[in-house]
This record gives sequence, structure tokens and C-alpha cells, in this order.
Amino acid sequence: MTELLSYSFMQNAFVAGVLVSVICSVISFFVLVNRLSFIGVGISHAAFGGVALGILLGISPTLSAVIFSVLTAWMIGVVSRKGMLHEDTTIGIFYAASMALGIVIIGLSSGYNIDLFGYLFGNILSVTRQDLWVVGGLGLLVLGAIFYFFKELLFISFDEESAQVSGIPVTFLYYLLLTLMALTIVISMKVVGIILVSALLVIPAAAAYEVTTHYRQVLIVAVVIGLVSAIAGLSLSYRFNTASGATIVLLAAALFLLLFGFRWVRGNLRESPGSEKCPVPPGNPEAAEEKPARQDSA
Amino acid sequence: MTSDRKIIIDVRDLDVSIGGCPVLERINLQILENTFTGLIGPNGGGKTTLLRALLGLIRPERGEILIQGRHLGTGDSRAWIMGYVPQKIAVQRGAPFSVLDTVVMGRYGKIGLGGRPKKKDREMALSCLEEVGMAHVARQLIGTLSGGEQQRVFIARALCAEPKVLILDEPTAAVDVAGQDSFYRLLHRLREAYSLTVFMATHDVGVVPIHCDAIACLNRTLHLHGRPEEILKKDVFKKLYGSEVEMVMHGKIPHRMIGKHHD
Repeated sequence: MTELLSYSFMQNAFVAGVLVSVICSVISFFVLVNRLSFIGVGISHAAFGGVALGILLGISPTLSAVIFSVLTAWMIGVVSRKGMLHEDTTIGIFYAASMALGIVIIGLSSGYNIDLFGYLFGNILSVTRQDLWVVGGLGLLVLGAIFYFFKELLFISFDEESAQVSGIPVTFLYYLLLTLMALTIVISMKVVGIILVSALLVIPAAAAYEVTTHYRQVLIVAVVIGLVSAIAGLSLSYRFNTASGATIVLLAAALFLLLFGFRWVRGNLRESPGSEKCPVPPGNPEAAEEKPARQDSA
Repeated sequence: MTSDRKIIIDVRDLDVSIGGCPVLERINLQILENTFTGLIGPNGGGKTTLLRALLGLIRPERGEILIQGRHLGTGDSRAWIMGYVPQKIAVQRGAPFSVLDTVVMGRYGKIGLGGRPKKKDREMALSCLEEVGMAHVARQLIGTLSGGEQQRVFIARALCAEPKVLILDEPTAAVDVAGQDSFYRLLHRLREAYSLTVFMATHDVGVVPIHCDAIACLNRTLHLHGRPEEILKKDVFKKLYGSEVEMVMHGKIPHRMIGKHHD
């Protein structure tokens, strides 16, 4: 490990991996409770169109990816929120179209000296000091916004109408959340790549949710799972010379399966008729004895 | 009994359309302070739409809504006056929130953007849970409660915002008969204790004359609004529900309606 960290490119990679995994894990909680994972897929593929556009116009691909994916996120939001189209239809069209746009543009800008593969699948070893500043700056913005609006985002994920009656600006917060997702995707691009980033927007919280019940625990465990996947994934990818982004995602998916299996086994061992998972209607004689319903162990 | 009371909700010439189709037309409705008004009408008659307009969840085409004489537009905060108990929130079984968490959410509007709930807010939420008899499950996950229990928790959440008006949409839809009885007893007790004005949409015509002191009949337009015993007569219902109905009378007030046989 010390040898690993003696290279400056590895230092950059680890800092980027840690930052990105924390940000993705926190966002993944809101993706989970608001069921936004498919929107995540849509936005991340739009980012590819943005990168290609940046290359064509000769501006920073990161900047163009930010603009393009934020605009796409808002468009997906408008179309599905106004009920003009089903959300999955909207995303299905947007994500294929912006992918196609990206491919056509790349073909046109024949130069091809840009690391296209790196954007698609991630190339964490190419992360520069300057990239770290971008990741750090945008990441701070994302986490700061989530911290500030935390309780409102919780309320909306639980009951949007009542939140609106309470005077909470639900529409603004919905678009804010989409914007934060888009920013998270862009800063994760170099680490895990466009194709795989949507996995990091789902897996950490989904895995944490298998073994926790309360939102505070889900958040904390999600961040731990994200960090473990990123650090262990990077080390393994260095050791076995595998693609870093794919290794991180595979590790996160393996953790998910492990926790899923753990819950399943535990549930099956403990499960017996009338126990916590199956509520017995009141008045049923079986209900009298073994009632204590699932306690929140916060 | 009602003449010296002030108007708290004043709906004037309200038109609402959804997707180009008129759902509410020319609604004029004045609700007096500290009354319990039941809103009845056939399915699709616009009950929920009227409540949503009052709550600022839907933009009316025309007309205005005044609450305590104050004009309220769509999306203006109602946190200062209204508590809302929704019909049924699709609470996922595993929603990661405790019962207390969800009741504290009732305080969020008052706490304001960026603020955090304080000890005082949590204590208040707990006392609201006590008020509805649900304090013993405060730490349990909301998704593990039954429909009727969740309903009580949502009433606690509405109370927590210290409202003057409580708006309920089909509150007993998920509650069995035994539960309904205790639900209405609870509602009456809270009404007295907090001097609430209650406006409740219900499909259950039978409960209205028993529990409400005013009734509004809605089928796109407001057909009648007044005291139950004065207006619950056969021809009203024929007009409202569009078919010949038979009343099972309960003293002077109708208790149940049955579609008339044609043989």
C-alpha cells in the first residue's frame, strides 16, 4: 500500500476515488428513496454527448458535459413531471439520442486524439491535480446543497404533496436534486466512466438498505460501502492490472449481493409464521403472543 | 349557532380544469370557523380536486381562495393555517423513517428552509403522537403500521403544524368499521381541544349527518351547502348522484342510500 501511494498518479487516483465514492454514496440514498435510478442512467449517457460536443467545439469536455447533462436532466424532469410522456419513455429516448449524438460528433471531429475510451469506461490513473480540484469543488457544492436542504429532501421523498402544503418549494428541490445528480455524474466520469457511473448512483444505498432500516443508518452504511469499494477496488485494479472503474463497480455489486444474501439467510432462519415479517390482524389469537413488530434500532 | 361565527375559508367563483376538461365550475363556498363540514358527492365529482385547490396543489382556472381573509395563490405556503391528512400515502413497507420522523416532518414548514428540527420540535411531535394514541410506536418504522394506524400518525403530523383548519381526504378509506368509530371520536376530541375547523371529503354519506354540522354536495358544481338535516332530502341526492336512490332513514336524517329497483 505504501509503495502504491508513492506514485503521484496513484495518490491522485486514491483521492479522486475517495471523493467520488463519498459523493456518489450520499446521492445514491436520494436516488433510492426517490426512485431516480433510471434518470441516473439517462443523465450519464447524456454526459457522453456533452463530452463529444466539448471536443468538437474545442472547449473543456468537463464543462460541456456539465452544461449538457444538467440541461438534459432538466428536460427529462420537465417532460416527465408535466406528464407529457412516461418517465421511462422519455429517458429511453433521451439517452439513446444523446449517445448517438456523441458518436456522430466524435466521427466528425476525426482528430480522435482524445481519450474517448477513458470517458466511457473511466481512467482513474489519468486523473490530474487539476481534475482533483474540479472534483473537490463540485463535490463540495453537491454535498453542501444536500446538507442545507437535507430535511426538505427527506420530506419530499416521503410525501411530496404534504411537503408542498407546508410551503416547501418541491419543484425547485426536484430540479435541484436532478442537477446534483448531473454534477455527480460528471465528476465521477474519469473515475468510473459514463457507462458505469449509474451503478455507483444506486448500489451503495441499495446495499446499505439490505441491512439497515433507518435513514441515518442507510446513509452512513452507504458511504462506508462506497469507500470500501473504491479503496479496495483501486488496490485490486492496480494489483491485477484491471480497469479501475469496472473493478470498483464489481466490488460494490459483490458487496450488495453479500448483504442481500445475508438478509435473505437471516430472514429465512428467523422466519416463522406470525413473526415480524407477517403482521397478524388484530383479534387473531396468534397475534396475542409474538407481536413485537420490527423495532427501529437507532 | 352559526350566525356569529367568522368565515375562515372563502372560495369565490372557482373553476378548475384538468387536462382541458372542466372538473369544478363556479364553486362558491364559505366555511365558518370551528365547524365540521362534510364534502360528499359521486366519484369523479371533484371532491379531491376541490381539496387540492384549497391546499394550493392545483392551479385554478378562475376564481380565488381566501383563508382568514387572506388571498392564497397556488403554491403559497399553507403551513401557518392548514393541516392536511392525505387520502392514503403509498408508504412503502420499508420506508426508512420512524413514526416520530414522519410526525416531525409536520414541523418542517415552520422551521423553514435550511433549519434543523430542535428538541422542542421533537417534543411537540411526541405530544401530538400521544394525542392520537400512537406514542408507543414512535420509534417503529412507519411502514410497519396498519392503514388505520398510519392515518392516526398523519393526523398527528398535521396537528404538529399547529393548524386552525384540518383538511382530510377520505380519511376512513383504509379503516374498518370499528376503526371508523374511534377515528371520529378522536376527530371530535381534537376539534374541541384545538378549536379546529374541519373540512372532510368522504364517500360515506352515512357518517355525514352523524358527525358533521355542515354538508356540501359536490358534483362539478356545488349543489348545496348547509346543515345536514335541512338538505339531505331525496331530490337532492337524485340531482347529485343522477339516479333514483332510496334512503334508509335514521330518525329524521337519512342513514344510507340504496339504488332503487326497477321491476
